[in-house]
Amino acid sequence: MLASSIRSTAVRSSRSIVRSEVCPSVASTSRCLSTASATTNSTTNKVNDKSNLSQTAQKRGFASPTSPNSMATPVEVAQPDIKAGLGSSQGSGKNLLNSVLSSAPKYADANRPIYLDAQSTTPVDPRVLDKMLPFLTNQYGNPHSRTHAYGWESEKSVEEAREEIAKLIGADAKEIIFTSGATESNNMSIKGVAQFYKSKKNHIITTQTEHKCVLDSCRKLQEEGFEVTYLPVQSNGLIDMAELEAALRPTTSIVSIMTVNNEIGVIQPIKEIGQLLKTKGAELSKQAGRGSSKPFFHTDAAQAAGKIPLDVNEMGIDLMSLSSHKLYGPKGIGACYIRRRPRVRMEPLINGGGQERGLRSGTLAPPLIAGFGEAARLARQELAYDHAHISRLAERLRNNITAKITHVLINGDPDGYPGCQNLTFQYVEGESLLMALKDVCLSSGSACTSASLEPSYVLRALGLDDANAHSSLRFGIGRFTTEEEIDYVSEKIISVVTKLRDMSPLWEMVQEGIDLSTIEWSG
Amino acid sequence: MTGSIAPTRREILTLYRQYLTTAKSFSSYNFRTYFLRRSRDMFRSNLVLESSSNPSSSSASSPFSKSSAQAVRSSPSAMVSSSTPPPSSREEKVKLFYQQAVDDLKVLQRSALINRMYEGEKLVVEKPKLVVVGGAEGLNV
Ligand SMILES: Cc1ncc(COP(=O)(O)O)c(C=O)c1O
Repeated sequence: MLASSIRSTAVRSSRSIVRSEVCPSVASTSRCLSTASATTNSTTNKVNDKSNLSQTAQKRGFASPTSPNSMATPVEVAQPDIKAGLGSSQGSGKNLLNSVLSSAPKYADANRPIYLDAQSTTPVDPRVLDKMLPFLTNQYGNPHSRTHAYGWESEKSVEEAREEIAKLIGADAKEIIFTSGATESNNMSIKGVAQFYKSKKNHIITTQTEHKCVLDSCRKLQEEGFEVTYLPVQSNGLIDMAELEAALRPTTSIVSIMTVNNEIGVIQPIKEIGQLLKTKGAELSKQAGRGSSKPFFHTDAAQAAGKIPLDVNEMGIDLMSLSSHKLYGPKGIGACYIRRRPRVRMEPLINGGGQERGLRSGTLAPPLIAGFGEAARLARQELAYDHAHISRLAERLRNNITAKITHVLINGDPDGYPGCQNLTFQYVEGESLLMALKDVCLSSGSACTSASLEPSYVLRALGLDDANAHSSLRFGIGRFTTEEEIDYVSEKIISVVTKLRDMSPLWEMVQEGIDLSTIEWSG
Repeated sequence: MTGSIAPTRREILTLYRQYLTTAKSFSSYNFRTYFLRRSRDMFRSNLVLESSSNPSSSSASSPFSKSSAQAVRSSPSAMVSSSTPPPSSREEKVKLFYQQAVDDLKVLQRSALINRMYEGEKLVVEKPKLVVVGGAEGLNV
């Protein structure tokens, strides 16, 4: 605790040193100052500059200009002679557009598979890309550069994006820390909080159906001596609140339960969990001794943000992981929501220049962040529209399939997120199914984590046996999926499943009414 | 917003047409179909629905934020939190909608252009085929 507060003061003071060194000489001072008052008459400028020195320096110290354009123009210094060289004037580019468009590749055949894997990633919305491009072309400043316009404009866009992301989850912009994605946010939250509070608390609660990066972080902590409870789930994928309550201990420092599951779309009772931690959790913590806070509630909302309404205050969430590429933003950027009141303290995973409140050092990526912000803004605005579209398609898919083939299990909770449909086609080998469906991009339950062919641990946790877990497919429906695609895919599934079953001796026995579980397999 | 005159019916229809042409010029099937659907729903829910005096549609926060007739019916409009205060009159509302739609069209046009420059292979569903009445038949032959 002490070490960390010392560190944060150190960071702060090193920042203020940078500030005071911004304009070391008088000449450059007046130049910098004049940028802040570009409209001032230039003859009186110098005098004003000196008398306002401290005031303006203070103003500049915050370096969050509201209008970077006006601040970028030096007034005091005479313009040097412009020596126009080759390329100093721009051509009209009149034929450029036509030439580019006519030489764009053209494809005669139509073989590209249909994408139905929205949980693994989503396409970048074209409107998001449009927001990113300025930061990949002209506006390349480092958002942490506080001394010039290039830095300010990048910083401004980063802060605007932060605001949009905060709004999406009902948080304050100051509570959003940018990371490389949900994997990093999960690692940071769980390890960071556990490590920070380890002198008093050493217990962590999570569930068996979490994403691998949560489970792996917990396993790592276990090796370091922490105790971890992996809550089982019911057959519909939901946790049992009574079991969670029973698992709480005075020494529980963090509870990590995902909002929407990436394999079965189940939505956990987040609000109830938040409430339980505030009541029972806080009560237990009091037993642990003075000054002990309630167990912190972390939720991996990578699959939930922008898909279902979220509010960190209403739901009692202390830490939340977000990922841009699951909501039509670019890959390689994510965020971690970290509550400020009451404050969640943690050990940073990455140390360095003290960016992001010292919790995640390293230069931010303005193009990715601008894209993430726009994706969050769009997600908030399109939430109801997208949700209605996706629900309709999900229902269509289920109806199409179950109308034509039997022995299809729908995994997960019926009230889960409709964009994630996990179906088991019994008596069909999942891999052969995927093989035959080569013009559809689907994932068998496990493929999300890696290329392993092991049956999904999430489906196993629901109580599916190996055979059923092996015969499961996940259909990820998103903003850009069409009815036509759903119809195409269901037709394909129906014909492939029928064909594979016709070749299966097991299926023949099922048809004859033989209970397969009564068969003794020998040899 | 103050000072500008409310758009005429003709102006709105022209803008609507521009949206449709822009949406159609995307080379990616999924973006093309999405923006067509979105543009239709956006204009219809804002103009058609309201002129038949449907009071339940939410206030405009962006042209893209409008829920379609279907969306409004199938999900609570409260799911979309609007950042702009509800415009006072119907005329104000249309004006606001129009101005935002004009701005967003520029984004859409640039997006379509970029999408065209990096055209990719067509999807299997785009395969030219005999049009069979009723949709999904005739596939997978
Ligand atoms: C629930 C969940 N958490 C975390 C991740 C990882 O996110 P990222 O790719 O941003 O690290 C994923 C994506 O696979 C996910 O579905």
